Amino acid sequence: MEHQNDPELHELLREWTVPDAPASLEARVLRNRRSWWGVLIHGYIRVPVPVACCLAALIILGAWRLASLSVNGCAPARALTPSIAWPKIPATPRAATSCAPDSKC
Amino acid sequence: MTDSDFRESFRCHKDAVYRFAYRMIGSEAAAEDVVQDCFVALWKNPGGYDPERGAMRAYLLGIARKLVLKRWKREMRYRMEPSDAPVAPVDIVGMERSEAIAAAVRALPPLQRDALVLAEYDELSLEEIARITEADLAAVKSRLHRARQNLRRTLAPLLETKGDLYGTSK
Repeated sequence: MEHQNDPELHELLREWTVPDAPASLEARVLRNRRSWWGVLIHGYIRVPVPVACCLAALIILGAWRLASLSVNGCAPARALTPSIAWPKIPATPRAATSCAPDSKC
Repeated sequence: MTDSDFRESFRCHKDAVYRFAYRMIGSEAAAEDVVQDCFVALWKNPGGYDPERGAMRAYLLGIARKLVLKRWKREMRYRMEPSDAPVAPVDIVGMERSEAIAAAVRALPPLQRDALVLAEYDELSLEEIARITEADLAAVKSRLHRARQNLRRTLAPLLETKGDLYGTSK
């Protein structure tokens, strides 16, 4: 390497050795990756503030529109007064003498 | 990136990333955390790596360096010191040689330290170090020069030629 212009220092620095990564690290890293369904449960998305504001405004507007439609679309219920209409039954003339005076009918 | 690509990258580069993190931080547990975060970042954003811009190892070391700096900032151990900041004296008397070297490297200011570790231990080129550290080539050269100068001064008792290369002999 062109910048290693101090071989003596380089040799000395090489005496500081560091162990390799422990074997347990592999399982730890591979476990830490999430599957696609894990992302559905734990994932999150970053939304820019202007987009979030527009979405919030659209949701509010939509909710307001729905509410106003439901108010105008149905006629208000009229006050009901309870009344009973009795059917008129035509009067039937009673037979004058259907039974004899001494009979027990 | 497929699962097998990821596993392959992990097996090829985990040791390099771990050693870099360990040399920078000095803690096994923290170095493991950095490796984990580094590879999870690769898994989440495989498109971040552009083969035309350099080797995968250099890319991963760049992520690891950012994670180390982030960790230092969180722990309030990192201040943007100028790269020519004075190095606190390190007493290496009575230390093992490797211990003394570790102490001397860790005493370097962060910008000198990462340039030195990437150059001396990971054997990256100046251009790669410049890309990773987001600095220009001249700044990297200057940091490396100062780092070596400081190390020569600190590790003088362990060197046969004591400090004459950079004019630091007393």
